Amino acid sequence: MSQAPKNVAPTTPYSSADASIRAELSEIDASLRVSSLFFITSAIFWLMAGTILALIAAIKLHEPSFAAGSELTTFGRIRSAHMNAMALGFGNNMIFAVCTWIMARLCRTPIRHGGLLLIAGSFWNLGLTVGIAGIIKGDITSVEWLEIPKYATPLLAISYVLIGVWGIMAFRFRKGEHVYVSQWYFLGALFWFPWLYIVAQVMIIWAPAQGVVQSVTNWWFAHNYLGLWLTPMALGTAYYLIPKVLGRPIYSYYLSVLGFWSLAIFYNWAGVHHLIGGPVPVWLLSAGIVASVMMVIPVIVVAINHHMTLIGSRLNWWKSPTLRFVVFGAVNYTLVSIIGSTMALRTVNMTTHFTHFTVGHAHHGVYAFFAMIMFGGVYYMMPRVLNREWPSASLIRVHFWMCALGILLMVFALQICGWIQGTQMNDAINYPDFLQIVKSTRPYMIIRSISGVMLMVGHLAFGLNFFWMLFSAGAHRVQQEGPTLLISKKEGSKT
Amino acid sequence: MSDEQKSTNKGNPSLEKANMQDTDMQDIHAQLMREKEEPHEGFSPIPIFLLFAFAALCFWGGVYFAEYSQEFRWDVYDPEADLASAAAPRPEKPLAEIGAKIYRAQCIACHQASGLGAPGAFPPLVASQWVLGSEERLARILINGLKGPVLVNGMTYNGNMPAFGPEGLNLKPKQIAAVLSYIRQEWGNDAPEVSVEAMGAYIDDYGARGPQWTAEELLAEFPMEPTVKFDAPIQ
Amino acid sequence: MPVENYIDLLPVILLGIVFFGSAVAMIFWSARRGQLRDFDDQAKVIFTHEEPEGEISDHFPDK
Repeated sequence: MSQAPKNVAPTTPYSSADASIRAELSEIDASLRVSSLFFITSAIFWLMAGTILALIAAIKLHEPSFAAGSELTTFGRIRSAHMNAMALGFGNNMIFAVCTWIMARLCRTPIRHGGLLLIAGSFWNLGLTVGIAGIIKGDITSVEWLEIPKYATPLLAISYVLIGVWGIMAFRFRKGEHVYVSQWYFLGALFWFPWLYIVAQVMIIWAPAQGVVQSVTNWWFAHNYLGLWLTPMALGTAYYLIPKVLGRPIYSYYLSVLGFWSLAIFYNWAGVHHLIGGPVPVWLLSAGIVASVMMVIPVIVVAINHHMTLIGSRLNWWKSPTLRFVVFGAVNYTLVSIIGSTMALRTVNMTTHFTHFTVGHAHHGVYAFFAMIMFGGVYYMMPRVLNREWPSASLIRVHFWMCALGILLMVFALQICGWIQGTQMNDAINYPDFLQIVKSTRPYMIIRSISGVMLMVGHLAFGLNFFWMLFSAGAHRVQQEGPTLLISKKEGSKT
Repeated sequence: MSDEQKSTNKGNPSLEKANMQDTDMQDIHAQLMREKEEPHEGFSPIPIFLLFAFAALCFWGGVYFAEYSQEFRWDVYDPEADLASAAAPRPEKPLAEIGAKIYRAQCIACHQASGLGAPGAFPPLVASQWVLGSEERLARILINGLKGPVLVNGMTYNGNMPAFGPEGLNLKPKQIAAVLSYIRQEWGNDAPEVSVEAMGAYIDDYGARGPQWTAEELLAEFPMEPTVKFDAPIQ
Repeated sequence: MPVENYIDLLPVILLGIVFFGSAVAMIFWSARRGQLRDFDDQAKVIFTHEEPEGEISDHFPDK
């Protein structure tokens, strides 16, 4: 086995047995210890808070009198608090953890200015706490995806700038000439996000544009938060982890670069599909619809790449905790994107718009794709960063099954409900009573709450496993030098 | 390998091999080691079916966009609106309908919604020859106003009708024509409507006149027509 | 297009030009630095001596 690397690809920069290069991976991982712990701990807290808020909001939709005593717990505020806690609290913190680690590894240098990351993270959490408290208190801006009140957003902006600067510096001082596709995705996202955020904040909140321009900007921003921030971060992570875990290079690197650039070209336009049918100049909506359908190109490219890389590896992906999550996420990326492209067509949109179908679709993308890949990333990186094994494989299994089944149940229920709802609402003759249609969604709302409970169980398993690993100092320390994970003792040490 | 050695060893394969000197072996190895790796493309192009699929998508996209962009107009929201027919002049609302709105705004205070006015104060418009008769006489009243005593349907009114022409409220010809058409066709009245062109001509002639008309002046030029039998019940 | 004052659009347009220009610059930069050659070798960049190509680097313990 140790002969294999030398016979393969003499052009691999690291085929030499040079000890100074050999030490690097562990060095890189160790240098990220403090910041990773900080970000993942924050992410877990936000995940818990966000899940609780989600459960409250979900139950309210079939038991309106639940938690109805105070204005602080009204649906509008709780739902917005949930969205921001999940997207900005959980999502961004996970990104800061997983993607800075992958970036550091690919830049082949221990990180500098780790303190910058900690300061940025603190500002982020502080700003977010103030912002979400503000939402619950009632200062919500009422603009979707930009609900955080004005007094908290500058903190988020500063924090973001610091992270962006760190990312650019890490890239600038990298060793090794090749820029792997994951780095393209991460740098692209680091570049796109400030543009999106600044323009949206300025044109909607700080110096509001007139009328419909605000809506167009709003949905350009909101959709691109998913498409040009969460998606590239998750895709870059998947592109790194799948080949890495399997030990095989990605099937077609050329296709992956093509996929990146076609995403960059098309995704930006798609946002207006949220406004189909509205008082927006029709050419803009048509441009958005075309772009949404053209997104099939990068999606198919990613699907082919992942699929062909996995083929022939038998069930090795299933046997890896990381890849269970990552492959689940990657498959759902393809699914959710195809469903999304279909939803953008006007005839389909007439039924799905303004129904639970869209809610299901949103959770499909953010959870079944983005969150699951990020979970996988954490499972891969933490043993390497902390030099310890995960204490419990069972908890990982519980996490996987609860979350995978939970999210699939949720998406299924919401999309079936939404389709029925849309068809009924369009049929004024047979379903003239709006309230009746609302009441008939109730069983699906209950199913959604059940799926939410399943997700909660999965998250608890994840949090439990993580803190157990963190606080049981000596118990599961890895025997060998260098990063490994859960290699059974039979295999012996690796060199 | 020297020729001598070669010739003595032909036919004996193992001896042939054994005669290869170490130095020769090293020479051959040195040659192999110096050789660089075969150059290769390092580039597997996109599968053909994918190329066709993408081309088809781009074609669809182009057609869809061209079909539903409505000439990139900022004011068209409906993807299937027929721009050609929309550009054609829309049928105008009938003058009387426009006039009804103006009547409700400007005239109703005095002449009332019923068109009956107030006895002794404001003359009625219903079944009034002033309304049903000469178009120009009526137009002039609107343009410049009317003062002094006037006999309407057997009663004398001594009031003051304000001017609605350029020296008064300055209603447009279309508006005055509309309200006149309205009163000439409402409440059972039945007289031809007043056209906008005619109204325009009257305003050109009399718009700058100045003082209000009196009944004598108007009747001198436009004598009162004989009364027409009026059948509709007065509300 | 009815805009009260076209000047109001200027900051957004400038920002957009900056980002678009940088995207174009990135493509040229990557072409010049040879990122767009040798794709097969570039794919192997993720492997190192410690986690080489050909080795599974993550699986459940009893499998």
